[in-house]
Amino acid sequence: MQDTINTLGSVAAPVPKRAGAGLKPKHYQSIIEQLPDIGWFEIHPENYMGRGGPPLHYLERIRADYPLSLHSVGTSLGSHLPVDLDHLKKLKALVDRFEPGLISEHLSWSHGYEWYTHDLIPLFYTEETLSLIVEHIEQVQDFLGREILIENPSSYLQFKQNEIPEQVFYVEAAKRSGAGLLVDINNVFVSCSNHGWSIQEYLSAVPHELVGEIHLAGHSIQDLGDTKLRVDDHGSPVCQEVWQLYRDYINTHGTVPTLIEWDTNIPEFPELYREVCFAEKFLQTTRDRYDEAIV
Amino acid sequence: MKPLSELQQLFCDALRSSDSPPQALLDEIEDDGLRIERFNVYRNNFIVLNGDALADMYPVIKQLVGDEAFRMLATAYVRTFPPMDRALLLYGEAFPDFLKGIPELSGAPYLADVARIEYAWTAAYHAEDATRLDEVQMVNIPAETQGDLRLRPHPSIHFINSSYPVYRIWAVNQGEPMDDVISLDEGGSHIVVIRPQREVEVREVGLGELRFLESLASNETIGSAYAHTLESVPDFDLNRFFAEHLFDGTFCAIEP
Amino acid sequence: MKKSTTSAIVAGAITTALTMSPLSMATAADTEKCFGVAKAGKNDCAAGPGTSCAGTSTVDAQGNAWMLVLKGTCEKIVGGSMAAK
Repeated sequence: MQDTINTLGSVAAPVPKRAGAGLKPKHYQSIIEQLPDIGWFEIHPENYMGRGGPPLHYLERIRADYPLSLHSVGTSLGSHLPVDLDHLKKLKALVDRFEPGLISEHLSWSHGYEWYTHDLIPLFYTEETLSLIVEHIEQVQDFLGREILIENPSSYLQFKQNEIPEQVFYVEAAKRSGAGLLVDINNVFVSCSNHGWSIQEYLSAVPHELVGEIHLAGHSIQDLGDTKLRVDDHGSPVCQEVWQLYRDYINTHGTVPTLIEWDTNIPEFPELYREVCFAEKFLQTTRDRYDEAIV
Repeated sequence: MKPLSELQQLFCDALRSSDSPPQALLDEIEDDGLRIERFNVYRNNFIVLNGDALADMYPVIKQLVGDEAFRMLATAYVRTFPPMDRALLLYGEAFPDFLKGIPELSGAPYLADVARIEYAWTAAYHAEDATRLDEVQMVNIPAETQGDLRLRPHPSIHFINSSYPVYRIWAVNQGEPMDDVISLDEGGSHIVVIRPQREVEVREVGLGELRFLESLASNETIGSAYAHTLESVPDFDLNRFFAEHLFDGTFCAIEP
Repeated sequence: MKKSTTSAIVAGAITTALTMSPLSMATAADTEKCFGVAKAGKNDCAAGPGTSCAGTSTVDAQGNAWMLVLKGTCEKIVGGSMAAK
């Protein structure tokens, strides 16, 4: 394990095409002590927007040994309200301090008016919201001075107003704003299952050259009589179907930095590490086949 | 077609409400016969995710009232005080006062002050960093001017002054459920919550120490803070207090 | 109390503190250690609220019902106004 640590120092380390893990406070100690062979870590920057204290120290410590990705949840790109400059400043401060290899945000909204949902609410897939979100993505990118990735959401309902299929809206938003794509394969599976969409149709609409990151997570199933709603709770191992979709995707397109997210019922570190190693094994197979480099 | 602003507000209002979602919103949602259930996934996420954040902030309150009652209180709180910040780090600031206003909790009047300790703990955890006052900064100050200077406590400092033995209640509820019986007749407690270096400390202190620190925190000089403290606590032992805390990170600067 | 007396006491207490405090006191905490563990048990390696992009499978089934029954460790707290209950 120890041999693979690279001291990245202050250079913005690119996130390698390896498996990474969502960084959880519960695991700080294990990571610092064991320096596990994991390609990179991802955080929600909003959880490091305190004025000071241990979380920022831990992050600094872990960043010294691993590349980092910032996965924002608070920008509310799809909100009718303007992008919040204060929030962008806080985000930029973290970007300057921790020099992440990747920055991403969701194709959703969470700020309807006065207060925040802290849950990702689906967009209305119309031309009007497309222009709005493109403008907001551009503002974020201009402010940060770099490209961000946009993640496809998991959703449980659709609006009647929708006039553009989600995958088309998603890809268009990235193309028009110059952003990249973060493809959450679990979200594709969850949403397609919840809405009766075709997974193949969804994924084949995604141009691989725009894909900068993949997310994998577990979900749960809510039984509603004849219908099952899949709920994206990140509270269990990645399911078989999603692993299969992931293998097919990288076999077809090549390797992509891949994150294991585990946010509720968070296990002890070894269990999370097993999932990361599982993804790494698939990435290794693909790497060998295509003779690809990691970075 | 409704403008986006109206639709988003409609959605938010329905998330927060406990009534069935309004027809105006349902009319916007594709109907496969399950649109209410589908909407309810979002309402549930809103209530439970933010309620979980509150549970992370107030583990002792949760242990004191039990999981079921806590979930109810959290649900009511989230509806009354939805998150006003893009980060959840300090969500739940109004929870202590909220608990005070719940009639069913009138038999447990100490809960609000226990909650204040828990809020202070997390606020101190995320407070800005500051280097401790060190001996070198003190050594060269002439003795006769020391009393006219101001000692700046660490920015993480919080004070709780309760008429209930909330320090003991908080302390025995760390970790495993407690066996000790605590009597409210034990009397009140004074608490300082601070993160002098990297660890948050919850200190039960005497009234003198509380008064002295409060006076220093409100920018009084050392001399006047000491004089004020003596008014209510004539036997306050400044020697002992400084020996223990002057250089342990409780203070981070000495200023004119 | 006279201001001069107060000043003398303050100066004396500071001198005592200086005498008792080794100037070389280590300030750099051991960073290997989980800094931030509260003395009284709360493990702050998992401290406080945070946000994530996940939903939840926990179902809040209470709706409008409000029947607050306390079933926690508060049963071990007696006396004071509790006695009147």
